[in-house]
Amino acid sequence: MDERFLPCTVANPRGTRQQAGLIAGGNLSFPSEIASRSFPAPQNFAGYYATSDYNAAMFLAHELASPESEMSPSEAQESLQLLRSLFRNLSTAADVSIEAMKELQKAAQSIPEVGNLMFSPANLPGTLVSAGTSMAAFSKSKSVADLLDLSATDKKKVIKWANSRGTANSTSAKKTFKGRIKLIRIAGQLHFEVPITAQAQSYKVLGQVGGQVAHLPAYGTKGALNQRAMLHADGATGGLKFLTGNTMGVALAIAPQAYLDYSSSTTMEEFYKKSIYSQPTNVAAFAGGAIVSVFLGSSLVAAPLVIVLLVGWGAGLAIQYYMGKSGKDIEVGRSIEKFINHAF
Amino acid sequence: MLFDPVIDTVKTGPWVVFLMVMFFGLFGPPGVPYYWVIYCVVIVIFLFVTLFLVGACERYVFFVAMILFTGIGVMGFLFSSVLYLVVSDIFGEGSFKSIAIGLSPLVLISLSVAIATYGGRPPHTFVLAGNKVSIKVKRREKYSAGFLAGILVLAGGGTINLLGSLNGGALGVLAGTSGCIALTFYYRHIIRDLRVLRIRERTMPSPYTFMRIDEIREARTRWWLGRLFKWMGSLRQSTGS
Repeated sequence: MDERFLPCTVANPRGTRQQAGLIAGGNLSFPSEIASRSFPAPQNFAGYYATSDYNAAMFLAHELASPESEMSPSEAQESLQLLRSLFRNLSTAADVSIEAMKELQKAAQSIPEVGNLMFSPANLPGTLVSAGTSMAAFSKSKSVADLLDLSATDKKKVIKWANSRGTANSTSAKKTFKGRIKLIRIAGQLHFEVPITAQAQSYKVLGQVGGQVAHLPAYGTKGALNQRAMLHADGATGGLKFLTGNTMGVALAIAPQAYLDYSSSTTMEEFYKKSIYSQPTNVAAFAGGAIVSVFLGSSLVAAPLVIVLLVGWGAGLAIQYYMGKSGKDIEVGRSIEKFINHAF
Repeated sequence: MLFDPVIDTVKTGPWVVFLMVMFFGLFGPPGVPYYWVIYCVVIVIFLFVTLFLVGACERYVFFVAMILFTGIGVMGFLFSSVLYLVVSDIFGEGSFKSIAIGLSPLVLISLSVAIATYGGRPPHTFVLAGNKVSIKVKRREKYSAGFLAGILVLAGGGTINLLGSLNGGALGVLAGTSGCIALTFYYRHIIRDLRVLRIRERTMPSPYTFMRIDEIREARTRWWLGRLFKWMGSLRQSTGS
């Protein structure tokens, strides 16, 4: 076997050094995969992003004014309610300039039908509803329209406006939805161009503000979209998920030994027989490490990564030793062989 | 999150610990009489505990303590068992010395839990709302690449190749045990708080429950396991009173 042919793993993407837990060399994965590992994977951008009241209000105003955004009537009403309470907060806030408020008002007024209603002199004091009512609105115990301090005709207007959203412009909404994800090429590498959702546009996404799209590298897109991160990329994001649901981890545990067995076997039968005796240790050590990682990972105990790695590594080593020392590997191998001989 | 359980935690957390007990139990110390009988009894008992935790348990302290300490304890058991195997090579299987040394990981881990439970003044990290309680801990998401690389270099380097299998086993035990002790040290505030909650609970009419108990109750009505426990509860009520 070629000595320089070290296994290519997540922790050691270029196969330049030896690692614990791997008994010997493995085989290289596809070149494209190795190359793409050298590029940092993008961060996940789903989640909650903190923002100031002003930005939130600005965003809501734009969102409500846009005929394209897909919002249910009740959602639209709630957004309007939230916008009002934000307005109230902002009008008393010290750190918001008059110019900024004017801009916000302009944006809010561009909301069709109800925009001007919000700022008509007759209604302005009345429409500034308390935060308490907005909380009640979110708990959905009462219709939002009922909580608004509006005259009966204006209330009807609001309800009508909310219900009309999405229906009148349904064709254009469909149009924007069609072909949303495009494949583009940036500096030679393929990227998926994923439009950021309407909610995220006003926030900081991938370190940039106000971008319309997020670029995801074309390799491992499914993984990126499933919000899983490999150890080499962005830490063990999401509770060391790379160890749990990932076929990669299993391959890492088993492939090196399989390669050794395969290269020293002359027939397939011999290879299977060797695997029966050599693989139980790897499988057990892998299972031990994985289960410790799940237990200590962020979804359960949420221990710091050092501890997860330390205990997981310790458990893996201990199980490997135990299997070899107590002769259980041979025991298990024998029973598997017996089972196979009986079955076939 | 174990310390602020959501629906998913209640659904899967106990099963993870049950799997740990079942799997690590397979690596028992050799030469113990009736080991597999004891193993089966423990597994059956723990299966019922798990079913209870998933389907019915509403007591915060019991739920968290059961999962946390069973998980840590069963890891300690694995390390003890392996260390016993390591030292019985030197002192002979079944000798007093090998048993005493073999038990040391478990003893050290329990000692650190005890110190965490009884030492110092409780810092009160929990959040209370009526009899609902949760403990806030840092969310685990990102780790710096340099930090990770350091850990991996430490872990890598062909441990077993360098040290040989005997020392590899001992090193695994050492790493795992110190990791478990570090964990109890890291969560010492929470362990102390659990004791505080337990003491307070004794004087209260109803025990502390989860912060998101309403969601969890709602979810349990959808699971057959939750409904089973509800049915059993109603059965007991009708016969008891």
